[in-house]
Amino acid sequence: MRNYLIRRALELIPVLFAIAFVSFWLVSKMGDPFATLIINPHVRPEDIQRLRHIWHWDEPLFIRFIYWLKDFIYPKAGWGLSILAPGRNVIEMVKSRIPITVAFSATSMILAIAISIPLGVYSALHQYSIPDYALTFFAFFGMSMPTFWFGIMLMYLLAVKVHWFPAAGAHSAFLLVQDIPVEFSEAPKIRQFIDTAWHLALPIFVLVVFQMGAWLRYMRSSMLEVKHQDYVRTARAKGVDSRTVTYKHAFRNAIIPIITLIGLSFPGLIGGAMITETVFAIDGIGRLTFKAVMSQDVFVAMALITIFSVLIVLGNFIADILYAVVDPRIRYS
Amino acid sequence: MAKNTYIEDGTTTSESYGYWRKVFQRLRKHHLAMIALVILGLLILAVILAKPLSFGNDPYTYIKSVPWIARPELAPPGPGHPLGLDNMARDAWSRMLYGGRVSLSVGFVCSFIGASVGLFFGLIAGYFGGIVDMLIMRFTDFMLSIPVLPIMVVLAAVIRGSLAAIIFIISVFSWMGVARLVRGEVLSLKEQEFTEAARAIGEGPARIMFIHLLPNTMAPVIVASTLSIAGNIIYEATLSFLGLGIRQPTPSWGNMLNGAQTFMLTAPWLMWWPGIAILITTLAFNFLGDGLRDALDPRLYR
Repeated sequence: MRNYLIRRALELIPVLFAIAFVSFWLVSKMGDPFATLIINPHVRPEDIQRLRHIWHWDEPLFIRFIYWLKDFIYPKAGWGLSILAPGRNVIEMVKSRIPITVAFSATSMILAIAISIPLGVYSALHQYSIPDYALTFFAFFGMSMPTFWFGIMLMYLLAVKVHWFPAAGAHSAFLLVQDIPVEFSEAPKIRQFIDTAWHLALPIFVLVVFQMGAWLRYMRSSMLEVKHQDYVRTARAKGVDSRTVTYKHAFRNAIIPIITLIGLSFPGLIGGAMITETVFAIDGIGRLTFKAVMSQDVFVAMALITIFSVLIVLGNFIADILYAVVDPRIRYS
Repeated sequence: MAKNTYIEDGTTTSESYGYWRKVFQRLRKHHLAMIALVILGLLILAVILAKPLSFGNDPYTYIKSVPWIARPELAPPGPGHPLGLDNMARDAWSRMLYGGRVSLSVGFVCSFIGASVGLFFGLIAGYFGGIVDMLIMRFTDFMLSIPVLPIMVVLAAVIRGSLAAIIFIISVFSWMGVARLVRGEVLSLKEQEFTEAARAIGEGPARIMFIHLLPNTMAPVIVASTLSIAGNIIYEATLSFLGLGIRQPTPSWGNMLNGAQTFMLTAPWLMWWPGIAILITTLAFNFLGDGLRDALDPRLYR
């Protein structure tokens, strides 16, 4: 088992290296990050040459990539130069935006799974009943809905038409504390939390509905499959009471594939977060990715894409490991 | 040789005829899939008949004036223009119809390319095994580890513009599922007697793969590509919504929504219909795919 783990972990390195290189090549194709500095009257042409040299942008692609990778892993001078916010450290820029994205993606994922599991089980146990059809329809709705449009519509109906939720942003600029406007960062922690939750309610809802589609379908079909297994029939035949059969024999086995699928759901979640952040103007790393691409901010885009790739590769790895752990029939070879 | 061909053709044709007939019979019992099929038929008919259905309007013409409001830009719905005019004073209804052509064809073409590439890779990997299999499957894993949407956005920013570029970008990421499915099927199919028989009468790998194995892997591929049409339409819409997909003046359901957020307050009617069109189309493809899965896989048939 341990050897298997180590071997699988070592296999991740070339995959990540390849993804990083391909992304680097594509992102470099977007444009020269130093070219946009020319319009700045305070930057002399010599300075641009010097900057190019500092960040090894005068080297061939592969050498430049190796230098970038070295800087990414051992950041001595940050992760490069940002065009969006010149002079700002890319690491700080990315770091400051990670918490909000993690907070709302993780919340939406946990909520989606927590709601889908009982509903999926119910659907499977009452196959072809009216609630089953309703849930199936809802699941398809979640899978088919273009997230950006769903976001815009919710924003229009619930934030613009009736002012139940704020239209955009991750938090208010000012909060009223005892009728005095206080800057957000100086308000009490609990008020900050409530305000952020209120702002994130709509984007989280969008992501929950989007993810629930898939989870409901998975849980339902997994439970249906287990329900018809021989050992479940045997348990019933020997007179084990129905609840025990459902929740001990069937449910525990039906949940296994769901657990392993969590790791594989990261790419969808990253895409979903990117779109909802863009629509709801939340300054997380998803929106930053989009803004970086649109403004040819090569270093920022590269850093973010690499972080996403690491997450996805780790997710696949975890899924593999969990699969091997929960199913002893899988050989570690 | 001639005799073999005769036997082979005779059996396969009569059997496959019965097979597809049974599939269709099972599909007919799947009400949602049948409704989806009808809706898709109507949608395809509507986009083919875009010209006669658009009340004499042209999706590219800037309309000079409309009688019911002072400025034609963002005019609300009125006679002759059932969905109003967009921010450049073009008829929204005719843009919906012509945009449907673009959105639907992107969905179909990308899925077709994805299925073909996936079939090819899957067949080769499964049939030859060994180093070929390892290389192809590693490449598939590599593709599956790429953060799709961010890289699509980068790709779209690099190769801006044309319909072909968008089709290429989406197709690049739509073959991996099929490749894995087909490889898995081929791994078990190539051990079966009919493959052995084909090999025994001296048929080459290409013939075995494409004449014998390929038809037997079609069922899951059809299901997967039907479902992927829905996904591809959403990808196109998302890229176009972000301003990186189909470019103006060519209409697509996605780029009609591009300005929707900006004009949400002044012209909310513009953002309803393209979104509803996308939703209905993707729902229909998903229901059809689900129905096909039940119909094509008798093991699941309960």
